[in-house]
Amino acid sequence: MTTPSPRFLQSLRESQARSANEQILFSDRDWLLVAAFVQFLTALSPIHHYLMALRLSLPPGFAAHAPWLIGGLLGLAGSLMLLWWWALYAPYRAALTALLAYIAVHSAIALLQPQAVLDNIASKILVLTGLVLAVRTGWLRRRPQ
Amino acid sequence: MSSVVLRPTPPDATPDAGPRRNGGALVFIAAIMASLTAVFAAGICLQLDRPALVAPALILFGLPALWWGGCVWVAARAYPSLPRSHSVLNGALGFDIRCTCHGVASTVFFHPDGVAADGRLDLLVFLENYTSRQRVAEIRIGPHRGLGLDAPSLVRLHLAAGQAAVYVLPLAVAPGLAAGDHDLPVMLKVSLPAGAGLRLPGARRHLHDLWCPRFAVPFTLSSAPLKNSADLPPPVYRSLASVGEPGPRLDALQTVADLR
Repeated sequence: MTTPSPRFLQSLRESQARSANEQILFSDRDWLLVAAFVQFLTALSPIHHYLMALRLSLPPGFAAHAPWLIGGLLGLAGSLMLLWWWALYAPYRAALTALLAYIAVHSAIALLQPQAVLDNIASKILVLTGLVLAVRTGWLRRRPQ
Repeated sequence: MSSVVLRPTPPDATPDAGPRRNGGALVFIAAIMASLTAVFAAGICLQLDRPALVAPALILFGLPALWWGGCVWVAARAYPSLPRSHSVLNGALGFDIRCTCHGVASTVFFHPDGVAADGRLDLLVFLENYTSRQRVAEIRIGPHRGLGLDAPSLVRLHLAAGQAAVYVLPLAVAPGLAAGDHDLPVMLKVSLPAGAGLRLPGARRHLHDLWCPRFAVPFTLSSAPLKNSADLPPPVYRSLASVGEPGPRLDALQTVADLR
């Protein structure tokens, strides 16, 4: 038996690097699932406030934007779930769509309720960072070497 | 599915070393936290004029603190006498290792990662035990109809303390598989038949320790194979390094290359 040639070792490293990158890609895909889960949780508070407003017959202005807010958050959560599935086949496009949808929905919510911009800011930053990471990994994989 | 535990060739007779129980950083933090909780709980009982509860509070939190402290003490005494890991996967082979599973570093890939003209692919599973006690790695490969794996196949591989090894599984591409990129799902679980042990000196630190790492092993089929591999060679499991030897035996990799 002989020691393997440097060329053989180099080809082993290249194959291993491809597999390791695939693992990172699928780890970053999970950010879409995390984002969807966080959106579902974020929607619980407005749903609770809206139901309480209905039950206590509060003035209509109290929760005027609540249906839009709830619809936006639940719609975003459902979309992120679908994008998580789509990321199996097109990780870059799915992650980029998720990032744009996230920014669009939260910008619209900020316009409707400017006082709520800073609500759940930690989870927003976390999810945004994860989605940016997923886009970056997808882009690096898609870019020609 | 096989319940037989495969042992790499040549056999590695390295005995288990160090304590059975874990005495690492997390246990140390747990001991400190339990000690502080015991003191605070006793202090609160005294502040609320409940001296009868002081002893139960001290026992409730103090005993785990003592137990964990003892584990840390035993581990600290055993650590200097442990053999040094060769750290083959990160060092000599230069692989990009992201995580461990119960102290076992692993990477799974096809080499070459494109299907050859004979329709054959070799799945390589590299494992390295970074701990001072033996491990059994349970690897679930598949399912993938395109590679003839209609159901997941289970392989159990033994690793002595500090041992590195490679498992090679030849696979053949099924005729109907479409051209393009494909992924083979592989899952790893590790059992501890002789206890947790300690991380060996020289082993890479600061790796996430996952309970069950999952791999999506990529391969590319550029066109339909010219012929189908009728007879695949049997899987091989070779040892790459043992802490009882002065250095890694990379010549075992040449036998992997010779399989083709």
